[in-house]
Formats: sequence, C-alpha cells, structure tokens
Amino acid sequence: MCDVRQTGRRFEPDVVRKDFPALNQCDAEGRSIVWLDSSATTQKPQCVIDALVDFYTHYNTNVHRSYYEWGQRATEVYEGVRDRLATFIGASCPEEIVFTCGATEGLNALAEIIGQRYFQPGDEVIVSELEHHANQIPWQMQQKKRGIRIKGWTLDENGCLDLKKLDTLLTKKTKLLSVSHLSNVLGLVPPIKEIVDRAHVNGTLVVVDAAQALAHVPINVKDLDCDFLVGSSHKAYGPGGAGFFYGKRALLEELPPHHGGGTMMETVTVDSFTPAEVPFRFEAGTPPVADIIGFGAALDYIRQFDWSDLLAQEDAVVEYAEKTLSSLPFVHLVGNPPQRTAVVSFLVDGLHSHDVAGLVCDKNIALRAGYHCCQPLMRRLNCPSGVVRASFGMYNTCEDVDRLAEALEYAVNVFKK
Amino acid sequence: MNSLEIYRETLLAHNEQPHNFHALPHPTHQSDGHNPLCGDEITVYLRIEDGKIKEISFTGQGCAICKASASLMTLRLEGQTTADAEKDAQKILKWLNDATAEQPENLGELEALLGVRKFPMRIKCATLAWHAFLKALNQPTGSDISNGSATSCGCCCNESASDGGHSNGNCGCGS
Repeated sequence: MCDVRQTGRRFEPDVVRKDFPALNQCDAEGRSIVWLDSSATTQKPQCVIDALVDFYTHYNTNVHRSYYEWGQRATEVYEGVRDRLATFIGASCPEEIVFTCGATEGLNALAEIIGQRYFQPGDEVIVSELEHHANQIPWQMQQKKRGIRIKGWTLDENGCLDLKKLDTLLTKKTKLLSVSHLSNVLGLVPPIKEIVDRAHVNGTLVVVDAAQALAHVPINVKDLDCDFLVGSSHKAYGPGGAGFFYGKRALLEELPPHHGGGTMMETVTVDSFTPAEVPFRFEAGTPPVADIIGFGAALDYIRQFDWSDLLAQEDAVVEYAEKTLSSLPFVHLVGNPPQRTAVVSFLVDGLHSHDVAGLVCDKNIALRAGYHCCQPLMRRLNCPSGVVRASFGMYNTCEDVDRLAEALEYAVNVFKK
Repeated sequence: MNSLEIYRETLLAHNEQPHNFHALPHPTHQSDGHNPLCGDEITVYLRIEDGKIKEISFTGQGCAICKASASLMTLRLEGQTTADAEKDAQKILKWLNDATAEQPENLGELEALLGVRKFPMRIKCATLAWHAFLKALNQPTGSDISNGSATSCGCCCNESASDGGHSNGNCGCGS
C-alpha cells in the first residue's frame, strides 16, 4: 500500500495520472479515456482502492462496539478519518463532523434536524437558483411539512449571485440560507464569506453545499463562519457511499436526532430514549465503514500536494478549455462567471446536448449532458435541451482538452452529412 | 462500439426535418412523455375518428434519436385503427427494449432505430414518443365535436366539456 500520509509531494500531472488505475486503461484502438466527468464522480487513486481492499481483507468489522483487535483497529482508523476531515476543512474539533452516506443524505439530514428544531410556519428559507436538486428538494419538503416559505435567489445576467439582491431577500423571517460553494454547471464559486456575513447580520443560519467544492476549493469553515456544510467522498477522489456534514458544535448540541437506531442513543426503555452526544446522535446504525476509511485515504492523497500547486494545474487546464472551446465557431460557453472552477458547460450549434455526449464517446471521451440535476438553473439559462458539461479533476491535462475539441469537430460533422 | 450505428442517415434526416412536428388544433387525445433524467419532453396529439387514427403529431424537444423516433412513429401509425396501432406500438417497444425480441415485419424506415438497440442508455430516448402515444390512447381531451364518437363525459349527449357541455350543465344528459 502506498503511504501517502505525508505532505509536500511535487505536483506532476503526468505522474499523478498514473496514480489513477482506471485512467490508464486503453480502448480497442489504444486510446486512453479522457475523463471529463469529475463533477459526476472522480476517479480513485490506487491508495483509495488499496484502503478498501485492506479493510475488507484484513480487519473488516463494525465500529464502536467490538473488543477484538480488528474492531479496535477499525474504530481507530474510522475515527481517525473524522480527525483528518476536521483538519481538512478547518473545523474546531472532530465532534463537528457527522458522517453520512453522501452529500444528498447530509442535506436531507440537515433540513430535517434544523427544520425540527428551528422552523415555524411563515419562516423563510433562501435557496439560490444555482442549486442542485439535492439542495432544493429537502427544503421544499420542509416547506410542505412545516409551512415555511422558500425564496429563490435568482442569478444575474452573467449567471452570478448578486449580493445586493441577497440584501433585498433577507427579512426578519429568514431563518436559513442554503448555497452551493461551487456550481456543478457554471463552475461559479459564489462569495461564501460575504454571503455568510450578510446572513449572520440578519440572524440567518447558513448551510453550504460543498459537494462539488471539496476537491477544488480550499475550505476553512472557521474563516467562512458558515453554520453547516456538507461534502461527499466520491467527488473528492474517495469511494462512493460516504460523506459528511459539518455543524458548529454549539448548534449541533441543540439539534435533535433524525434517525433512530443503534449508536445514536444513550439509554433506551420500552417507550423512550435519550439521544447520544454529538456527533453520534446523528449517526444511527452501522456506517459505511470501509467507504469512510477510503475517504480518509482520499483526503490524505489530496493533502500530499500544496493546494496552490493543485489549483494552478486545474485552473490552467480550465482556462485552456475556455479558450479552446470558445475558439470553435459552433461552441458557445454557458454562463459568464468571473472565473470558472473545475467546470465548463457549453452548447453546440444544431446538436442536442445528448447527441454531443453520445458522439464524443466514439473518441473515448466521457462527459455529461442534460440538466445536471439543476432544472431551475436550466430554465434561468434558457437551455431547454440541457448543456454539455466538461468537468475536471487533478488528473486532467491540456491534451485532454485538445482531444475534446477534436471530438466536438467530429460530432458536428456527423450531423452535417 | 461506434455511435455512428445510431446516427444513420434516415435518423439524421428525421431529426433535421421531422414529420408531423406540430400541435393539432383539436386533438381528441393527447399525452405528455418526459424523461426527467435527460430532460427530453414530448407531447403526442391524436385525432381519432371512427376508431381510426386520422391524424397524429408531436411537439417538444429531445435529442436526435427522440425526435426521429417520434417522427417515424407518426408516419407509421397514421391511418391505423386504434387497436392495430396499439398492438403495433407495443410490438415496436418490445423490439426496442428487448435485445432478444424478434425484428417486427415491415419495419420500413424504422430500421433506422436498429442501432439504438445496442446502446441501452439511449433506448429510452427512442421509446419516449411511443410510450406517450400509448398513454394518449387513454387520455381523451374531450374536444371531439366532429362526430360525437367519443365525448368527454362518456354519455350519449354528444357534448364536449371544453365546448360548454357538462362544464356548465347545458347538455342536460344528467351525468
């Protein structure tokens, strides 16, 4: 197993790519895959795969309850991930990290526990138009359940979130605001700190959806001062089935559990229970132990590198993609954020987004088309046929962009026949 | 596998210039089809008279496969009796969905969809319009005023709700 619990590794894109076994496969024509779908899920470095295999091969067991050696080891490694994740996002203590099965579960859990504790009929929740369905529907469910009102924070003409607009939305009734840290369609990183500041002046809680951002934007929850934040393992080079939510400890202490089961309780009688301490109160049942251990390996993998090196590489590739795609006369980029992070979405003249995605497969290029779980955003952007999205990870290079451009020429020519 | 197997000439032609790609002014039957994951949306309009599909058309937006399949469907089903068309649509759907299904006879231009069968992720694009058609057969609009063969209220008064029949109680049929 490669030991990656170290820092200061030099970032060399060609070497890094070799760490991801799936990317080193070739198709029948000897071409490697161009993975431009990291916003859907990232590929996994060997050390993450090794961590999963190691767990299942050597110490597969449940956590928090077994006295035998494997049980102790599993618990130590599992809780060690909580510590590392707290460090990774700048939390004050590991108790502020609650493990989940993913970002969607995190947002649903937060909506439910925050709703139970704080929402009264007539309260308002602000949700931006950028949001993934996972950051819309859980609040809409609360709207139905608790009589709150959802206010949409609409985008400006460039597809950005305007802070002045936010000021007009915040009222005495605004209990909460939920916003994405990185749009999975536009690549926009909203000014989270400014948003949090304005919301807090108004006494409004802020939830940050960092599902997309975790691997692409250095996050420090203390600096941001957000109240809650959710993240996902599989979009940050870790396995699927694991994720987390962060909450300020004082707030988590106030919140009730949302799921009943093992681990989340302290004492149980036939007709009552007392909830466990934070964070276990929110972790009912057996967690995805292996996946969380794999998530830890992914965080270690990212932490080997300096953020500045990682970002320099990703930004250079994204900038090259913007330039290259804009130079194709039949391609139109979607949105106009001041800077795109990790994602470039576009339309191709005369071709439905799905036909583009289908045809570039012939050149062994993986990208996504359609609504990207953002129907309100698609309506705002006036893209009824969805958009084509190229999304990037640390393993992508400018050569990948060149291959994409060639494949787009090919797709357009098929339709010209 | 190369997706050029999908994007055959006939399919591209029907995408470029789809047949019957418009709404019907007074459809007797109508239904929507929607693939929420990809966003393809289609509305199928029927004008059924004397048990026959006199007119069939569609509107909406979708990928080339979706649009071409809808266009080909309208050409194939127009003029058939509803019973024959229903059977035919089910046969085509089975052929599209089931890799082991035998190829229906007289496919004609529908052979253009042959390649789609090899791409399981795209089959739902090709089947959307056909499902919408089957649904439409059971969704009368109530706007049949031409011959009284199918009224919205299902009674004998030959009135249509949308034309001021049962909606304001004028028909006097008692239903």
